[in-house]
Amino acid sequence: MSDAVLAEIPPPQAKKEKPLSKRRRREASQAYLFLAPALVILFTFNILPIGYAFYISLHRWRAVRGSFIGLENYLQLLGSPLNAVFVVAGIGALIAAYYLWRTALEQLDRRRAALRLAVAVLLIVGGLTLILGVDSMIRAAAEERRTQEYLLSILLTVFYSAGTVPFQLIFSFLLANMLFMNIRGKSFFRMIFFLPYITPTVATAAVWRAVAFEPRRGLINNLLMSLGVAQGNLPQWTFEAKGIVVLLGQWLGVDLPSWVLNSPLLSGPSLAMIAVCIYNIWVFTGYNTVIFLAGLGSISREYYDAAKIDGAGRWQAMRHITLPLVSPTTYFITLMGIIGTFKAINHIYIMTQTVGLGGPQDTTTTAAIFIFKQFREGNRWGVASAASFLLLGIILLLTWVQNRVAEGRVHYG
Amino acid sequence: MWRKILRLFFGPMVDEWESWRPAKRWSVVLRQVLTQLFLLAVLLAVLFPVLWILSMALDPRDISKPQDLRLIPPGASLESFRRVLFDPYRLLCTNPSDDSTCMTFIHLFWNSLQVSMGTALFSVVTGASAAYAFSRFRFIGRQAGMLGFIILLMLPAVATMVPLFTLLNAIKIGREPLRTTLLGLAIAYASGALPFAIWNLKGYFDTISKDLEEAALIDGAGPLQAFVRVVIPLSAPALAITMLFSFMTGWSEFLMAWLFLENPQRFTLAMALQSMRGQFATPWSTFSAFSILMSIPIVVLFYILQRYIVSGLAVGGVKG
Repeated sequence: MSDAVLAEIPPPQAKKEKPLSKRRRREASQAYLFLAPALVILFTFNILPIGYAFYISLHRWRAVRGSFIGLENYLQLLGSPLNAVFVVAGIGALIAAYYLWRTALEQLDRRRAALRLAVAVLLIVGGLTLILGVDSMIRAAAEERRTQEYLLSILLTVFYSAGTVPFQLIFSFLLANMLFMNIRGKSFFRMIFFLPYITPTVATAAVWRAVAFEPRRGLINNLLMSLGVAQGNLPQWTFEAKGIVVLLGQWLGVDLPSWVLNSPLLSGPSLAMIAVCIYNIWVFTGYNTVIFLAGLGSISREYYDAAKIDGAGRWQAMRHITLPLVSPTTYFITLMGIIGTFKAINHIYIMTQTVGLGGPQDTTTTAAIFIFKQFREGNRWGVASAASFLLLGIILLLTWVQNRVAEGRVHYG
Repeated sequence: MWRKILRLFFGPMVDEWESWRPAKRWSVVLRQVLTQLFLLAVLLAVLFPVLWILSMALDPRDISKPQDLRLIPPGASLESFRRVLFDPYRLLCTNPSDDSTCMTFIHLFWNSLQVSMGTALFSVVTGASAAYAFSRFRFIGRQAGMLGFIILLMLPAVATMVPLFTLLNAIKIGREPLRTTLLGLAIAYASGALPFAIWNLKGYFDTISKDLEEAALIDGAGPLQAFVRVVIPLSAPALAITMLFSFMTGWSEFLMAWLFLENPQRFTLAMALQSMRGQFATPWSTFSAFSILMSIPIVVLFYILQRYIVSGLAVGGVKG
């Protein structure tokens, strides 16, 4: 159809204004009818409890309601309000740095770009210092036990995310690509890779702990012994509270300075935490592989044909076609993975039950476990609710940052 | 060199690449073999805990700790399966001195089935209807609503566990609180599964062309009819997968169940399995046999629905 013909057809929307708004109103009322059942359930069993939890968080509440104390529970968790200011300022500096960095890249004037890049670098350094400062604050807050525990639990949650999501992504992307080509037994492999996700958590987590990570007779330690990596002092896995950096230092015979040894951030996640991470990767890699397969399947073959005609190699096709076009899937998996690690509780519960929930020495007490322990073991409902809201705030902030970062990088269709 | 090796492994990552360069026949075969070997290695890593569960289930000794690393235990038998299926659970009885008041596997299974089916139906029926509203209608609060669901999706379940406990405790059915009933548990699970259901289904509905519905509307169908007769049949994959996921929540969750339920007559499979784990000793053979029997329905469901997994997870739903 030529442009001339198109011009003769009046645009459909401009014709009748009034009936349309009436129709809109009807449309809206129909929409609310469709929404009603879900809204009733969500309101009664989600939003009402959330509101109630907020009410609880403002009180001194140990199984029964105590006095109204305002934001004291929140302050108790964050230590001095200065801590929160520092953390937020640090994160804010990082976000600002990111924006500056992006605008600097868009600049054509080179000197300006260089200037902005320098500013950005400064900001990143500043932000990182502030976040590192939290680490010293965690130690400084030693008198305020609960503050220390909570801040530590958030750090451990970050360790847990960083120790699982990237590995899940890499492994599942590679596996999906291998499964995507014409190989025999494709659906068989797909079925098996999904198996960890569908067998009950209670069973698999218990078996991992008792069979794979068992310090004396376990599979992994047997393997390490037969490979000659470890002899006398075998890694204690779920019983080991020492950080991975400290353990590596011991193993290599390097004397680490005490400021590394005493820092929860620098000494790294404990070996117990790494065991939990390995279990998590085992469970979700297969699941993510199947989702990646869906993403790969939705890429039109024409792109590859066109690239081939233009003389692109395989690696170029991978970089410029597959990776960008599969990016919505990557984003989905990253987002769900991070949310999942922030919410995770069941398998940590099973894997650490023998050494006390969240143990050893609280090194697997992620924020969700911290909240659960405050509820179940401490009966401190006020504190637990306040901790939940702070955690939700952190998750929202993270998602927002992720959205910003993804904006320029995720390509739909 | 390493590049060559990498290329051998990951070179043919996309079908088309086979035709990228006219490859010699032997290299195609070699590639296939190498990939198969690699996948088999991954398969073993993925499968070993599952194999171990199987091995321990066949072990007649009901060991308290996995003693050795032999995969096929001496004197393998199906005794523990028989024990799980037919013996009463002495840990879960209303009257500990009377075996006939104890739970049996069938009874636990039936409870789990009720909770899981309840969760799946609740979340899919209400979720599909809400997702349809978000996908097809324009109304005030649409954007805010979608955002709200994503926030609800992120909220850790522990955060609302205790308030939900109090709330369900306050609602009475007959003489007992809703909290201690299977219905209450199903509602609690469904309210947690609902945000994901809405999100996933909305993403899928968005991909369905509106033409068919519009045709139905012109033929005089109401919006409800258009939804039930046109959209629902077209969304079988997404509905099936959403149901499967909600079903799995109800099937394997145990923490909330332990918190809510009181009467052992209402306990679920996951709770029974968890109750077998002692602090120092676990009856491994029984435990393993139990977990295998417990997984069978999910594995079967997954096997039936697996062709839908790829299409039914509306990854595009991230678009919002």
